[in-house]
Amino acid sequence: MHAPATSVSFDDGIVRKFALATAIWGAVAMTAGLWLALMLVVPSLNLGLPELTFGRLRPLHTNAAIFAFAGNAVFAAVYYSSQRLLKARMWSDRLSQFHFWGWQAIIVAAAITLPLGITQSKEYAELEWPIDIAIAVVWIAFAINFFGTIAKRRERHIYVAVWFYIATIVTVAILHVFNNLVVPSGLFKSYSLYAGVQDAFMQWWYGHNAVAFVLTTPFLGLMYYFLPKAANRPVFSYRLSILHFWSLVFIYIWAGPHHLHYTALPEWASTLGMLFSVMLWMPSWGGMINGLFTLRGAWHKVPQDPVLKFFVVGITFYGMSTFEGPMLSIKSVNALSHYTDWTIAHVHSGALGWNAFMTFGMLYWLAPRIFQAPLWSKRLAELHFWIGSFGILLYIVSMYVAGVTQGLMWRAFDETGRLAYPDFIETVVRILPMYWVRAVGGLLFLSGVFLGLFNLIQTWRSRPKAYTEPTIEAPPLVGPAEPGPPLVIPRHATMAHVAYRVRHFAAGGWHRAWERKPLVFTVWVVVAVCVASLFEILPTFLIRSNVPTISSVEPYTPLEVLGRDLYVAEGCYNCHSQMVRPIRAETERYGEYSKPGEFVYDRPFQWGSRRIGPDLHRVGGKYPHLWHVRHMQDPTSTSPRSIMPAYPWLLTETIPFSEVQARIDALALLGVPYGAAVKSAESMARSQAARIAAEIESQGGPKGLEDKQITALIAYLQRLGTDIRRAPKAPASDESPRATRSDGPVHTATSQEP
Amino acid sequence: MRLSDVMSATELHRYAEVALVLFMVAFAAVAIDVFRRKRTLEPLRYLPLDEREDDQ
Repeated sequence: MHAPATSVSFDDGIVRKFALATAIWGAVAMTAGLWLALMLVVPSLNLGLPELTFGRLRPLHTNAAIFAFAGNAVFAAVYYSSQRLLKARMWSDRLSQFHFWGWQAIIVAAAITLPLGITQSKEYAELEWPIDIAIAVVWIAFAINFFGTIAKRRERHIYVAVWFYIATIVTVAILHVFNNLVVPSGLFKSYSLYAGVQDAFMQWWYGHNAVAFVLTTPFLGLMYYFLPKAANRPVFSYRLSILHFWSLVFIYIWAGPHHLHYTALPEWASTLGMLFSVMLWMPSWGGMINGLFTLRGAWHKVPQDPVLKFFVVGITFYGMSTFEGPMLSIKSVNALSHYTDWTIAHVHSGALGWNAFMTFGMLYWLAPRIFQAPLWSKRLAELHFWIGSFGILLYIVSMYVAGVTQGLMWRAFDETGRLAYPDFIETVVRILPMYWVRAVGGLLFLSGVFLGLFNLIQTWRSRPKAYTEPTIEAPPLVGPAEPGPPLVIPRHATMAHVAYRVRHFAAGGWHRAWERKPLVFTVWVVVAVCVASLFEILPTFLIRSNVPTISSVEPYTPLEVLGRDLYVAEGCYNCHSQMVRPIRAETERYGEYSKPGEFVYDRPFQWGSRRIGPDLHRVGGKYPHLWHVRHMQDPTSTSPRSIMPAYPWLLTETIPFSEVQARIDALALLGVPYGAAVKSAESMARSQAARIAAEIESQGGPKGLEDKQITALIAYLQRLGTDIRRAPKAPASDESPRATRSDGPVHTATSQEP
Repeated sequence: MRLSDVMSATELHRYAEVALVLFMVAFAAVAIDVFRRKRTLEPLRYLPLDEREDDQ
C-alpha cells in the first residue's frame, strides 16, 4: 500500500553556513600551519609572545584542521546528502542552527584557550573540560537531529553514505567521553582519570580513532554521495561497500597502539596494534577501489571537471596513506620512523591529499547548487587544483627526506661503536633546508585555499535575492519494512541444509534488512566498536604485570606538580618526547630506557610523538639548575643553532602557589598517595622553590626567582627520570614520606649538548 | 583469584594472530566473490542518482 506523494523541502540554509565555515576555518587552520612551519626555521616569528610559541600554536593548528575545517566539511556533507538520501528535511531546523552556532563557539573557545596555555596536552583532545562538555552537548544535539531525520525518512533503504555517518556519530561520542574523563581542579585545569601507560593507551585509542571516525568514515560517506553525483555514475560495488564498511569499523578501533611501539606500553598491546593496523589496509583499499572504479565510464569527464580532479587525487591519496599507515605500523619500520618527520609527511598526505581535496571537490560541486548561481570561475578552481597538488608534493617529499634523515642519523654509529651524531642539534640543523621546502609547499597549498575561498565568496555574491527552497515529491513510508528474500531449502536438497543457510546469508539479505532498520543497524555498529575497544582496554587495565611497580617511584612534590603543569601548558610535548625506547641508539644517547612503572603518577602522560628537540625523560640531574635558567631564557646560549623559542616570561611570571592545594587535592582524589601534602601543599612548594632559587643564585644566576615559574619548571625537569636511581624509601610510620623529598639528585654538570 | 590474575592467564595477545589469519581468509574470499559474480543492477547503488529535484 502506498500513501500519496507529498512535498518535502530541504534545508540548504544550514548547508550554506557549514560550507562557508569550512572554507573560512580551512584558511585559518592552514595559515596557522604555515606560521608553524616558518617558526621552525625562524624561531623569532613567535614575536616574543607566549601565545604564539610553537608548543601553544601547534594544537591550535591541529584542532582547527581536524575539527574546524574537516569538522565543518563533514557537517556540510551530512546535512546536504542525508536530506536527499533519506528524502526528508532535517528533523529540527532549530537543532541544526544550535549545532552550527554551538560548533563555531567551540572553535572560538579553542582558539582563545589554547594560545593561553589552557590545555590538557593530549593530542586532538587538548581542550579543557568545560569545552569538552560543550562538545558533548552539541554532539548530542547533532545526533538527535540526525537520527530524528532517519526516523522520518521517506526512503526505506539507508544508503552506504548514511551507514558511515551513523558510525561516525556513535563512535566519536564514545571516544570523546572516555578519553576526556578528568577530575577538575579549577575552571581551566583538570587531571586525567588515567595515568602513565594507561593514559597513553586511552589517548591513542582515541587519537587514532579520531583519525578513523572524524577524518575517514564521514569522508567516505562524502565520497559515496558526492562522487556518484559529480560523475553521474553509481557506486561500483554494493557488496564491497558492505565488506569494507564493517571491517573498517571493527578493525580501526584496534589500531591505536601503533603510535606506541617500543614505548613502555606492554608488548602484547603493541603487537595487537601492529597486526590490526596491517589488516586495516584491506578495508581501506576497499573504499579506494569502490571510489575509483565508480568512475568507470566517466574518466573522460575528469580532464574537464575540477571537481572530479579533486576527487580522483583525493581518493588516490587516501589509498596511498592507507597503505603507508599499515607499513609504518610494522614495528621494524616504526623503529626508524617514530618521532621523525616521516610521521608528519604521512599525516599531511592524508590531511591535505584526502581530507582537504575531497572537501574542495565537494565545495566546488555544492557551491552552484546551494548558492543557486554558477561557479564564479572554473579556471580558478582548476588553478587551485594544480597549485594544491604541487604544494602537497613539495610538502610530503621534503618531510619524507627529513624524516628518514633524522631516523638514520639518530641511530648511526661510527666505526668505534659510538654514536655518529652525539649532539642532537646536528640532526636538527641537517634537515632545516627540508623545513624551508615544506614551508614553500605549505605556502602553495594555502594559496590554493585562498583562491578557493575567493571563488566561493564570489559565487555567493552572485546568489539570487531569495533562494528557492529545493523540494521533492515523495510518499511517506507506510507499514513495516518488507522482509528480505526468504530462505528456501528445496525438498530434494542437493547440498547440506547449512550450505543453503550460508548462501542465503552471503546474498546479503540480512544486511538489506538492517538497512531498513536504522536502530538495529546503529546498535550493531555500537556493538562492533565496543567489543573491539573492550578487547584491548580491559587487559590494559586489569593485567597487573602490564605496569610493574617500582618501589622507588614517588609522587611529584607540589612544586614539581606546578612545574609539570607549566610543561603541559606550554605544550612542550609538541617538540620533546619523554620516552627512551629500548633501542641501543637511544640508550646510548639518553640513558636507561623508560619503564612503565616510572609513569604511574603522570597525569596526563607526556610521552610525546615528535623529537624536534631531544627526549627529556632522563634529563633530571643532567644539567645544573642555572643551565636550565639560561636555556629557557635563550636556548641558543646553551645550544648554539637551536631552533627552540625563548621563554623569558618564565623568569617574570609568578608561580600560582594559591592554586597548588586544589591541584594536589584533585590528584589525591585520583589515588595519588600524597600524605602530608594534602594539608600543606603551598608551604611545601614555597619551601622547595626557595631552596632551588638559592642554589641558582649560588651558581651565579639571577636572584629573586623563588616565586617565578622558571623555578617550578626546573623542579620538574630535575626530577625527570631520576626515581629509578634512588633507593626505595622505608615504609612510613605515621608521617608520609611522600612529597617531602629533597630537590633532586646531585647533578653532574656537563658541557655536552643534549 | 582476582580478575587481574584471570586476565593475565588468558594470554589474549595470542588471539590477535589467529584473528589476523581468519580475517584475511574471509576478506579474500568475499573480495574474490565480489569480482567473480556477474553483477546485476543493484538498485541501491543508484540512490544518490535517484533524486527528483532538478540538478544543475
